[in-house]
Amino acid sequence: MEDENIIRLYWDRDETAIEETSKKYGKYCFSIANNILCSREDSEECVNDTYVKVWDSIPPKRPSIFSAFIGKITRNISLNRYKLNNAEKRGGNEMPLVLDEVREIVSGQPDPEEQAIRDELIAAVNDYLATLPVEKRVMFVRRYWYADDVKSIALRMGTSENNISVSVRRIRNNLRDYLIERGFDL
Amino acid sequence: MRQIDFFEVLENIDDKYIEEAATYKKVSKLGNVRTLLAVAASLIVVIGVAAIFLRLSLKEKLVPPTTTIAFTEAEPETSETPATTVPGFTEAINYEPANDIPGTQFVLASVRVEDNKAKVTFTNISDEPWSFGEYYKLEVLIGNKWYYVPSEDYIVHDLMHEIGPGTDYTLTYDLSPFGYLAPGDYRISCGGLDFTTNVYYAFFIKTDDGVFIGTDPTGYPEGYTEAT
Repeated sequence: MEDENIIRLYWDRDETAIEETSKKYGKYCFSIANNILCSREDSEECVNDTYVKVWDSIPPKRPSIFSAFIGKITRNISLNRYKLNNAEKRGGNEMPLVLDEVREIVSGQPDPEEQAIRDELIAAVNDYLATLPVEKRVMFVRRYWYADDVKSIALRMGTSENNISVSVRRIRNNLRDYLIERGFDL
Repeated sequence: MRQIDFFEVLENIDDKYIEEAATYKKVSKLGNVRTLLAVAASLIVVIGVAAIFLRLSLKEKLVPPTTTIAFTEAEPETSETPATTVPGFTEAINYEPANDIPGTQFVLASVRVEDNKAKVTFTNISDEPWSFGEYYKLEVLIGNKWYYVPSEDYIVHDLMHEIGPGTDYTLTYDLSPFGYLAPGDYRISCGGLDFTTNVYYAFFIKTDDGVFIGTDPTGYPEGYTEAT
């Protein structure tokens, strides 16, 4: 089903929207989650949470690129789960519970100044990405947005793992220089 | 900033880049071949015209009027001559036609030939790193077609080099395996990562009086001046 029709189902509050989303983007979301979590069980939970969040977000939102929209939600949920899993490892059993409880008090949103810096940073990253040739940009996004391993990027790009490693390292170093030149304290 | 914070910030990169990376497919090799064939066809015409121009210019400017840049006249062709024999040689030699793969346009080379060795300096004029190998073949222009010059076996280092944008690298190619070179237009098909590839062509000329004329860094023959 076309993305536009799936989004229409959400706006109509038709529950088949989730079924259609799962059919079309289930594997896509699972791979994003699993790249971050390396756990089938956790990843499946994150994908299910994604569907709930998409259901809650549309309406009022009407995403122009549905795959990116749903991918971002999966990535965000998976990253939060990753942080939670790591906190459990570091701080024993109580800490995640405490954090969960505190989350009910504070918004969890960064303060306005921090948010402004983040907005500027992401704008600078987008500007930098716009300067890259498509192939290089895809390598970077596959590695640092989708968290793909080098082998699967090499297969996708039809080149060697060594070439991917070298290219990605160059892009990373250039991005760092680009951001430092623009005054970001990294 | 912690690594995980930066990873989190990347979540908000432009949607179009996320979609681009999800749907990206490398152009198939078949597509590349088709493109190369189209480029090759155009390049053959350009090279042919350029070669004629070059030959005429050199005749006027570099070669004494009594000599010509041509192979020694052959005996008149007879009906017994095999169809593949190239006319214009003292000996009938069956030359294998060179492939017509165009060379890269991202590199310039200067060529200097001395003591049966061609010293080729590659300059990367693109914005991207350029990778190349040491495999090479020698080709000769006969009529308006390039042919491989037969050779003895020779050794090539199976190495890959990479030069960054704006930088250069010099390789020396041994021409002795190709034996005596008759006066004419030559090019070293080089830069390949194996013997099947032609990545770049480095041109030089041998005049009737045995002088080798290489190519200067601008791509013109050494000593060439624009006609006024």
